[in-house]
Amino acid sequence: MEIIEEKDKRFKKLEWKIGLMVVVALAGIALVIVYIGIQKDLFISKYSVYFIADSGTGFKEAMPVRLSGFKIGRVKTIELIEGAQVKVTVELNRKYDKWMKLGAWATLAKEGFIGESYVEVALGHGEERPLEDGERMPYMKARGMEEIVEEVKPVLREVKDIIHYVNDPEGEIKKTLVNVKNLTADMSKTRQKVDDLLDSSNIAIKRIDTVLKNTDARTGELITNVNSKITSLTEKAEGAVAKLPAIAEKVDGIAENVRKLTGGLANDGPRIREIIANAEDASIQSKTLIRGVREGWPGRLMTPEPKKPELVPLDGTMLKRPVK
Amino acid sequence: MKAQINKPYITIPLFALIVLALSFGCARAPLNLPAQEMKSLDYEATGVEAFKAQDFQRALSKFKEALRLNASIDNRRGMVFDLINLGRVSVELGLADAALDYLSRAETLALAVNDDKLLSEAIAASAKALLWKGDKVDIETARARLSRSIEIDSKTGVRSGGKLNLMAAISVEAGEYAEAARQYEAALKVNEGNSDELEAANSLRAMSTLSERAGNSAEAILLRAKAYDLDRKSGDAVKIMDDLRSLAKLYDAAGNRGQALFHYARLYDAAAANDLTQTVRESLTELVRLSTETGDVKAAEDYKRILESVADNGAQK
Repeated sequence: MEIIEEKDKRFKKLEWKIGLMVVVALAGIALVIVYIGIQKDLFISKYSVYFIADSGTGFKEAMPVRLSGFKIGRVKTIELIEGAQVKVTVELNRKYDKWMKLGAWATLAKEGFIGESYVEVALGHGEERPLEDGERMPYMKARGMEEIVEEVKPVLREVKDIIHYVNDPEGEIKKTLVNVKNLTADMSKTRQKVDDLLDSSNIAIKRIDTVLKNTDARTGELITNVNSKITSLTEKAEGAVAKLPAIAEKVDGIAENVRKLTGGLANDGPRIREIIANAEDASIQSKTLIRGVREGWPGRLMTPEPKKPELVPLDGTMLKRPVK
Repeated sequence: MKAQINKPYITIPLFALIVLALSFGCARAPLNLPAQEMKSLDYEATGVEAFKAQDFQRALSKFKEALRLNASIDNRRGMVFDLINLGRVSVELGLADAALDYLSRAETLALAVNDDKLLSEAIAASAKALLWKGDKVDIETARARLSRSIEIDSKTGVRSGGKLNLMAAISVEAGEYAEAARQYEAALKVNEGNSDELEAANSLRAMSTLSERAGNSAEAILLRAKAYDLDRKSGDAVKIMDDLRSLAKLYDAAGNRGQALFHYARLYDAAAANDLTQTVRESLTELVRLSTETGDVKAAEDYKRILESVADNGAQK
């Protein structure tokens, strides 16, 4: 007989509920343990191989072992052996043993340039047998930063020498650059002179051309007039006395033409003088330009070497030259 | 990572860049001589060319102009060159006194500019001028001056075959033929060593004359022929005609009338081309004689006719 009868529904079959909860909790814990075990490869079949390195620097226990970037195991133990060498034992996942053939070798690698270290395993030959548990595999020392730096040092020294050579203010490159700069400045001045000279020459040529045209036209007129008058005089030679007044009149006409022409030339005299003066200026500028070009660097290359004083031969003979 | 810098791929382009920049940038020293000096150098060069072409009057005028330009800017060294050149040209023109005046001034200036080489040249040229004056006293002075010039040369490391030739010529003028022959041989060695064909020809010509004097016609012909070959290269008409005349005489003396005729004919052509009437007459006279002796009457008459026309006209072209 039950002394106390439970009236609240929640407490009915409490033992079952507690038991169920414990079972679930235990199951959960078990699952976690299994999960962790799977993560830690506790349930995976493994085997061990080892390699011998000259130094244990960079190695640590539980360091991953990778093949082609894929984790296949971990470093199990690191121990110092005879000859002060280091024996590194790695534990590998059995399912990857088909790649771990005899001839595979291990090396210490880094993820990226300064990343975490790991043991990199390189594949062995295709025809060889897989490595067995406890077997040794070769170890190849990777080139560290120190070796690379040693190789780069002479190169850096050379680069430094070259930079020093280029930067030397008394060196040829700096001097050459200064000379090029000066030459460029000279070229600008020379070009300016050429432009000025061309302008002056153009103006002078145009003026001369105009004057020549005018003079030519007037001279043509004069010649035509003179010709016609002379012809007329010749034809009327026999009746010259009778026709003298007429002839005289015509001569007056000619004289008038000559006077006009002379007056025209006299008017243009100052212009002609001006043109001559401009031509002289242009000539002086040309000489200055030519001198500038000769003394500038392209001209110097084309100009022959300046002459040196020379003596005529002594001619050690008593043979005298006849007087013509 | 394996890093290597291949040296030639940097240094070769760098070197090419430097060479290119230097050749375009700083190739030549700037032309910074005074304008008068530049002009005087041009006149000097023209004068030297005229001298080499035996146009001595033109050479004289060019050197005078060069001297004037150098004097205008007190370019003493340039003036020394011009004065020595004027002296040497004056000697060629037979103006010994003018030559000595120029050369005396050259010596003074050469001492002022402290140039032993130019001083030696001026002294040697004055020795030649003294020789050409022909005075016995001057011959000895010439020898002393030339010795001094050669002594200066020994200090400056110069060996001048021309001066040795002149020294030998002095010995000839003094009648010391054996000594002269020895000196000419030494001069010839120096001239051949210096590849100085002009002076080598002078040595050979003089040695030929000495051999002729010693009665050794064969050697004289050989030496004179060598001198002729060298004189042909220089184009000095006076020397070439002297060689032709000498060869003609030597062949004539040796009985080889054919060669003598040939060389006198060559001499006639050269003299006629150079408008040297005296030499034309001389060569024609010999041609007439030799043609007569060889029995070539027609040739003899032709030559005689030409000789008469030359005598009438004063020149034969």
